[in-house]
Amino acid sequence: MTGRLRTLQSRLQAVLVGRRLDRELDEELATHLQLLVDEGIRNGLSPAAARHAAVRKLGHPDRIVERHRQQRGMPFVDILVQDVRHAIRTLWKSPGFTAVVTVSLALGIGANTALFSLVDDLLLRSLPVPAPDRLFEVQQSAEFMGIRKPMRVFPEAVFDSVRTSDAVTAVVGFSRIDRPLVAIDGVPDPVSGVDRVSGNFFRDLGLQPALGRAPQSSDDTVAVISHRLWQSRFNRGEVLGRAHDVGPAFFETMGVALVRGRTLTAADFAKATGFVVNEAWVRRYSPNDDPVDRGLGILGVVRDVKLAGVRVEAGPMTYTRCSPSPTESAP
Amino acid sequence: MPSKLDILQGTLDLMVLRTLATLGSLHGYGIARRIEQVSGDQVILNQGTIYTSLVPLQQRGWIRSKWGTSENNRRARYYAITRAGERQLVTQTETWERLAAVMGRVLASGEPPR
Repeated sequence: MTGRLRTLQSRLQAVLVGRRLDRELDEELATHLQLLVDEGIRNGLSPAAARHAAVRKLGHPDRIVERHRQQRGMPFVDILVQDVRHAIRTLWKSPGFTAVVTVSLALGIGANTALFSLVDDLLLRSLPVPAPDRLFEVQQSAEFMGIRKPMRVFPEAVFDSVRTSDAVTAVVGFSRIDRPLVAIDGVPDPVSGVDRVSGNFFRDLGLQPALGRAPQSSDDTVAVISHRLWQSRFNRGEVLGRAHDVGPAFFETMGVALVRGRTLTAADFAKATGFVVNEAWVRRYSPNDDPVDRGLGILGVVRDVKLAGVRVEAGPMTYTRCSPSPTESAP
Repeated sequence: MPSKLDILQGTLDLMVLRTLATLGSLHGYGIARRIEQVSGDQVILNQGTIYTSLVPLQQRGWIRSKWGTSENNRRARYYAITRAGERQLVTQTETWERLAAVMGRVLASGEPPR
């Protein structure tokens, strides 16, 4: 291996000092030739005959020099240098052509660079938050079984100490729930992943949901679904305030006032038909007439209940009986 | 008189190393003369090829060279074997002897060609 390196180094040097090496070889060959001539004269040849014999004995100097160059240098580099020289001479002779080629190349490279910068900014680099360049993730380098790897999971105390640091304006936490169990409308539904986030996650990252509102710190158990899940699982339908499964005597127990019609009875639980909706639902879907018993299965209307904090308007709600079998979806 | 032998590829390197190990520092002409003399003028040596053999030997660090004055008072480059070259000479010689022995045995085992 060192032999090869040494050879490479020697060849590189030879490329750089090629002319000096040529001169030295010329000198070596001249000496050699003279020694052969001297030998011929000592053996009784005439000077001319001795020179003739010496040249025959040594070989043609040009061929020796050529083979010497191949051995010592990098012939392809020499050839490349020759080609480049030839190209420059040719271009110099036809300035019009050279100008066209240069301008075309300049425009092409410039356009490509500009486009790539745009793509880089728009597609590759930016995250959908107001200041993506100011985001960072806290990691700790930890050694585990002799391998150093970044650690991204911290106890809450670390979260709190980072949050009170002056260096940061906001800290959000998130963790992926391992093997989530999700039931949608009472039916266990496989979803790809569920992340639990700190209460300030959406506010401090400046994220706004496309539909509905972002959860707040005061919200206890609410979920934000991804656009993909909305499309695939809910078929881009109504997802806010979906059917709430309720048990017998729910409204009485919760003190939800009935406005029209009736609430769910024991018979409804047995037959598994019928809904109760709230006033927000009526305002939204049936603002001009009474929805009760119009063939939609709506049994009654109850007053709005603010589930998600006092300042938040209640969304449209559908109440249906809680049952082990799948419930029908909201209208 | 039998015709002269062409030098096998690679054998010239070994001859040069052997010559320098025996005689110490020599210039190209000296190496060529010595090989011709030792071989009893059996080999055809285009003496210029000595120089194409000297290049790789020097690149591998088996020989080194420095400028000096020849017997006819000209500047000449003198080549000498290095430690690495001596070690190389030992291995190459063993390899060559084994090869020659194998060739000899193989060729001796059959009928002489008609």
